[in-house]
Amino acid sequence: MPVMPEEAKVESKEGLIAFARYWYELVNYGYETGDVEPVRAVSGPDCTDCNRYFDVVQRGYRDEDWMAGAMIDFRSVHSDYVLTPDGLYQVLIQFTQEPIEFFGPEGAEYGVDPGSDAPVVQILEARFQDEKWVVAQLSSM
Amino acid sequence: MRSAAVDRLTITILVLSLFMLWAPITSAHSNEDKTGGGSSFHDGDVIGEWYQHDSGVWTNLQVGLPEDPNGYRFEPACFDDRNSGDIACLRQAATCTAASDGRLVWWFSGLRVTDPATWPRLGANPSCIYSEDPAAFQERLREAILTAFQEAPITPGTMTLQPSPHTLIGAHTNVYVEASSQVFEMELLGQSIRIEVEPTEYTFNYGDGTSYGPVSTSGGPLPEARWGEQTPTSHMYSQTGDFTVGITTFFSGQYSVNGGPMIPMDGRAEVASPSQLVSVWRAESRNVADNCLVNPAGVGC
Repeated sequence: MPVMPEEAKVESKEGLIAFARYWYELVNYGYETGDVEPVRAVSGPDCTDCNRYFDVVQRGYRDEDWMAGAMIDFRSVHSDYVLTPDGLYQVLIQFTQEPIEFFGPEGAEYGVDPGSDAPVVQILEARFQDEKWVVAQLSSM
Repeated sequence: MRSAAVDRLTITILVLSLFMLWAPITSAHSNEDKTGGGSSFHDGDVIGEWYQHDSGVWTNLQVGLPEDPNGYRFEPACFDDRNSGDIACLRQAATCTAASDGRLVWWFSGLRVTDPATWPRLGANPSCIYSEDPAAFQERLREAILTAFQEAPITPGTMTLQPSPHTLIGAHTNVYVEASSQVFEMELLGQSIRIEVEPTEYTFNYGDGTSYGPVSTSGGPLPEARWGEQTPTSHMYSQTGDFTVGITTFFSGQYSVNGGPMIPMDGRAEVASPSQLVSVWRAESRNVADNCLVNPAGVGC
């Protein structure tokens, strides 16, 4: 499991960017293992896209099903580090994603989601509370 | 203080929240359930869509979308320091034929707001760019091929009349045509084009104001002993005189570009066979008692 770098625990622009990087590493770990608890531990309950991700992975690994691929390649990141009226900091992330393959027991193949060869941009909105960053909201552009 | 960029992004969140990663999946344990609705937002590559980059070049990469937070730049794939003289690269560059002036490049992409020098390379393979919209080029090429098809020196069908050049009023004159498939190869707009034409229909113009067709039958020969019998393409003249008989053959075409698959052509080419003059005579029967030796003054002697 990825270890949170010290920098990602700092309330600063660099800290937020390091945290965003770490958050996507945890996402990949969840795709690989089916364990989304590490992501949940640093995500708020109202993050709708986070909840969708939990749903996909939990269903992908339900019973003896499993997933492959899906790895996110974190390509580019930027933050103006400006506090929004909601008390959040925004960071932009560009990534590509490998095709997501779904399997079942005894070699069953449920299908492949194409992922994305084309760069995708997400806006991650985070809040610093209790001495750590937490993802409050996540949206794709 | 909030920057204008952040304001814009906040608005964009609302607008674009339709395209969300990790879209809902309703239930598990089937192909439809796992992937239906999309586990990511990627719609798949649309073949044949072309986009113009800021620099003016055209690519099938989805660059140049309005308000795109992604920035894109490209570098030549074959002539940089690492790859100069790379035969495999040059061979791949030679496949950039969707329009004129095709070049093979590596694309780089990152967030538009960041330094382009930091953008990582995109994709596992280089891709083609063009200085002209390939969709417009393909349209020009298609029109050039259609014109070439219409103007191709197609050998006309060979027309035969039975009997000829004289025939009889009230008897069936058999008319048929023999036309064959033909191939034309040419260069158009720098592309190697192959056009194949095939006779498919015929119109018979008997010269007395009547015609038959277009029909798919070309007719066929009759043995001389059966001349005068009706055939699908024969004609019975009801007047004597000289008539100009003509046949138009309609050719359908298909083409291939640079050895690619054959594509059916819109429209047909009409090719007229050289016309022939036929003289229609009246036959009169008289009963005579003697032959010409016995009665040299007899009818027809």
